[in-house]
Amino acid sequence: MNILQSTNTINLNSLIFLSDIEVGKHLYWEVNDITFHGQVILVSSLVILLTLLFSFLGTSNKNIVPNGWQNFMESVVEFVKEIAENQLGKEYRPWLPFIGTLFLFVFGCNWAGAIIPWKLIKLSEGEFGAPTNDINTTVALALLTSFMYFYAGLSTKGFGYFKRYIEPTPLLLPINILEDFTKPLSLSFRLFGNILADELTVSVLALLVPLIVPLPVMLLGVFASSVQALIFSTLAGAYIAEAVEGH
Amino acid sequence: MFDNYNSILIIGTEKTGGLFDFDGTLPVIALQFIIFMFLLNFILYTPLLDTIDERNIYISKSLSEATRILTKSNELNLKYEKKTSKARKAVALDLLTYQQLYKNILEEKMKSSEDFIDKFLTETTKNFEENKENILKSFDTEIDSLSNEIMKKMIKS
Repeated sequence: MNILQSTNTINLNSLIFLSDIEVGKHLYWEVNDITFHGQVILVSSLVILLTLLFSFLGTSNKNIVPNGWQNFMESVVEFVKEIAENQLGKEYRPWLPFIGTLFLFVFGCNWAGAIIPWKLIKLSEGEFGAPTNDINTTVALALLTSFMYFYAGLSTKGFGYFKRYIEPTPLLLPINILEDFTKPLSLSFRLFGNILADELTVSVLALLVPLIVPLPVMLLGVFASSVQALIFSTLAGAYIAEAVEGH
Repeated sequence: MFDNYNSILIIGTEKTGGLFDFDGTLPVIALQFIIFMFLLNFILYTPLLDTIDERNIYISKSLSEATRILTKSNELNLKYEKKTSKARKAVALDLLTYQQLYKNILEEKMKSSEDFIDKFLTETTKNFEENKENILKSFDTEIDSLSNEIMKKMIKS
């Protein structure tokens, strides 16, 4: 019975292997009883390596008059610098690596999921996709953001940073404390939900109508991916700015 | 019953996953991100922002240099324009005076030559009249003598 079922699913899978839906299945790696989601780590490593390669190409032969890759990477750096500068003003430089890398990483992960045809590579379990459609990735980024704005506040104001919990009135103390939990929660779930929903929509549409019809949704996904990266980094910048700004 | 228990056991030991399956991936991604951040800061942000700053400094430097040269050239231009206009004015003045001078000289010369011509003309006319009179006189005597001779010859015959 079991064997029959498994063969059945395999047949079905091979029939529509380009468009079947797998939700919540992961390629598990196990080290010392700790499991890892292999597909997430592989794709995020690929994204990191590609970004590092682009950065290396952009800076390996830098000139006062930019050309080629340097031009491209300079526009990228200027873009993320603008995100940081819009939130933090003149004192953006110490936080630029975090906010800029956040944008580049989320953007790269989202696009890696939206553009590379991962379905062509079959895994024993689970499937390749955007690393950001795994809750671990988004929660990791959101927790890092929380850590970062605490660090920003403490490093600029010392323990005076905690004064903001009783401002403007001590009555708001519970809400202010609650905010520290809702910030990473909303950050992580926004990104996770958006990317997962997009991939699911594309999968479902591709399952129903394999040709042409999913294309607009895919384009929308590419657009939404960029917007989500922008939102994530902008919000991180806003949180850091809120922690850094003096009263 | 046994079957059910077995399946639960399988779920327990062999992870079937799920959307909200937190595990070791989270710290790995966090670590990857932190390393990525330091690497990017080292190989992307710092060098390129330095280059951009350097370029901005270079551009502002060249711009101020260019402005300096431009003001200098404008100053020089003004100076030389003043000089040329001065020279032009002087030349115009000189031209006018010399014109006047030459005009006077010419007029004087013309006057003197006119006088000379007048004098010459009156003298010549006077001479001519005198000559004419002399010639006429000589003609008269000749005519007289000739008529006398004619008379003589007529009388003879």
